[in-house]
Amino acid sequence: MERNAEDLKQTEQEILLLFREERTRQQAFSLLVKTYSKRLYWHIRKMLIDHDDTDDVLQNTLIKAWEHLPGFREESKLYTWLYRIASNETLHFIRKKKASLRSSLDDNEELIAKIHDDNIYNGTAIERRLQEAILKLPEKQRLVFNMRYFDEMKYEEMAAVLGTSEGALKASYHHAVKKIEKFFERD
Amino acid sequence: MKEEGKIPGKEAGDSSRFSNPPHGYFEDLEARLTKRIAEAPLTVKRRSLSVRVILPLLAAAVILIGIFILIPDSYESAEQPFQARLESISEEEIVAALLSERIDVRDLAENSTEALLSSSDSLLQDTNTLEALSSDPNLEYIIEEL
Repeated sequence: MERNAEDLKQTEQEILLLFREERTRQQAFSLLVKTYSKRLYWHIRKMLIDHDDTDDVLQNTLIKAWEHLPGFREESKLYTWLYRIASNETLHFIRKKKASLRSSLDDNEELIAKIHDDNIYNGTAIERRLQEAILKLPEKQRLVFNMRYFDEMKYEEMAAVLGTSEGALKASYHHAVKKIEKFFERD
Repeated sequence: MKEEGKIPGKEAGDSSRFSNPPHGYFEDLEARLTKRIAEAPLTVKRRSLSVRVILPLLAAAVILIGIFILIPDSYESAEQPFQARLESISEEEIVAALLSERIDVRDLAENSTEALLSSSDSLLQDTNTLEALSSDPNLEYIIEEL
């Protein structure tokens, strides 16, 4: 695990170094895509469920990262910064989609239906129920829950990604867990 | 974490539970992105040229055309009813209007003269009163008392 973190740090340094030179910029981009695309893909996919939507958001995320990399001030880790772009793009996508659908009573019915589609999600019945419960959460709470519960991200890192205080994130996660518990109690 | 125990297994969020992206998706991703990046600056340049140069020029042309076409029209349209009205007034009406104006001015002058005369009358009265007072033999006594 520590070795992985060290490798990631080295790769991060390498990307930033390659990016500084005009002639090695393409190489930097190639390395960035190779290193982070899978992680970012699954981070987005857990929120959007659908592959095509995820592909759109992932492409926008990486393009934005590329465009704004010259302004990256290295105040945070590159991967935290990329997660932040991916999270913002995902939330933006969800809001835009909701607005275009003119928001029905249950906005996530479409996503819940996808969870029950074997071609999209092939978990057990209880796992589908958990995904359903997660999809009932407000989008930011859903993001917090996924990052904490599934990705086991530290609150400190989550705070850097989401631009929220650790306290607020703990409260948000707590509320999300309570809501999911209630969802299962009703069954 | 206490709460986590009450929730079904973490496997639910495991990426293996979701269908995999199409075969070769991640391998092709870089090529697709590179293509998009290569196209993007061109699009931006085209847009910036049209936004920065052509559109302002068009807007300026539309405004200038508007000024040259609409403003003389509006002058004419404002002028026309006035001309028509002027032409429809007979000479008698004009003379009557002028005479009534003159009468008004004369009335005003007469009123002012009367007002001036009455003011001078009251001034004269005041002077007489002062003269009468000054010739009063008791006046010297009154001043001494004061």
